[in-house]
Amino acid sequence: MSIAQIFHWVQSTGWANAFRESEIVYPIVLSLHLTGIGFFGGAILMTNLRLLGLALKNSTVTDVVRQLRPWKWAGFILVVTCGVLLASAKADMYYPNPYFRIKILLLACVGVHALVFRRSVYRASSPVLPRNARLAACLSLALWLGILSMGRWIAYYEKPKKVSAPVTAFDRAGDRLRAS
Amino acid sequence: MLIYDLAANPLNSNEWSFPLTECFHVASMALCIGMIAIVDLRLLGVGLRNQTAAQLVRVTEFWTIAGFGIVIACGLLIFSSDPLKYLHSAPFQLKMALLLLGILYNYTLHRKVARSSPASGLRWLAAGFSLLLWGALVFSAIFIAFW
Repeated sequence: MSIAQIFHWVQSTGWANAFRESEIVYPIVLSLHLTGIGFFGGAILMTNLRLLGLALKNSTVTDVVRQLRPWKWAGFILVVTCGVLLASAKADMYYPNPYFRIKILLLACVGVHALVFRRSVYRASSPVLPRNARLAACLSLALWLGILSMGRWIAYYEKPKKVSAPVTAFDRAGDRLRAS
Repeated sequence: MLIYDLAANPLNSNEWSFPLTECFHVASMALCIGMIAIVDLRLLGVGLRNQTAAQLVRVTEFWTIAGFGIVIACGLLIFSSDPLKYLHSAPFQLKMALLLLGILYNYTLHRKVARSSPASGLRWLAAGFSLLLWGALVFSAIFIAFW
C-alpha cells in the first residue's frame, strides 16, 4: 500500500466523509485549531521572548520554561489533534499539496530543534542565559511562523491541470481535411 | 462619481498577496490573544506563577498592543478585498461586535482585576470571560467562510 493509497483510504472512511460534509463540525474543528494556535501560541512566544531576553528578565529561563511547558503541550495536542482531523477529511487534496508537505517537514524540524536544544537551553539550570538561547529562540519563532504560513497556504494550492498532448502537424492535417 | 474597482485591489489581482496578508493576520492574532491568555492563566492561578497578574499585564502590554495593531491593519486590508460581502456577513458582524467588546473589556475591567488582585472568584470570572470572548471571536472569524 502506497502512502497515496493510505491517504485515499483515510479520506474514504465513513467518519471522514461525514466530517468533511458536515457544515457545522468541520468549521468547529477548524475554529478549535485556530483558537489553540491563538491561546497556546502565547506560551511559545513568551518562552522565546524570555530566551531572547526581551521579557520576564526577573525569572530564570528554567522557571519560565517549566511553568509554561504543560500549557505548550496542552496547546500542541489540541492543535495537532484538530489538524489531523482536518487533514484526514480531505486527505486526497493534502497528499499532493506541496505546502502540506513543507508543513510536515517543518514540524519534523521542530522535533529536531527540541532534541538539539533541550539539554543546553530548555533544561539549563544556571541562572544566566544559556549560550545558544538566542539561536534556539530565533529558530523556534521562524519554524512556527513557517508552519503557520504553510498551513494557510494549503488552501491555495491548485492541482496542475492535465497537460493535453501537443498538437502535431498530423492533427492539423486531419483538421484541414475534415474542414474541407 | 467614485467607483471602487475591486479588481484593481492588489489583494484580488495578485496570487500571493491575499494568503500572505492572512498569514500576518493569523500570526498577530496569536500574538495578541496569546499574550492576553498568559495574563488569564495567571488570574486562574496557573502558568507564570513567579509574577503577579499585574506584572504580567506590564510585561505583555507592548506585545499585546503590537499584535492588535498588526491584526487590525491586516484585517482592514482583507476587508478591503470585498467590503460589501463582509458587511453583509452575519459572522463578520458578530466578530466586529466581539472585537469592540474585547478591546474595551481588556483595557478596562480585565486590566483592573489583574492589577487589584481581588478574591479568587472574581479573578476566575474575569479570566474565564476573557478566554471565552477571544475564543468566540476566533470562531466567528472562521464561520465567515462557512456561512
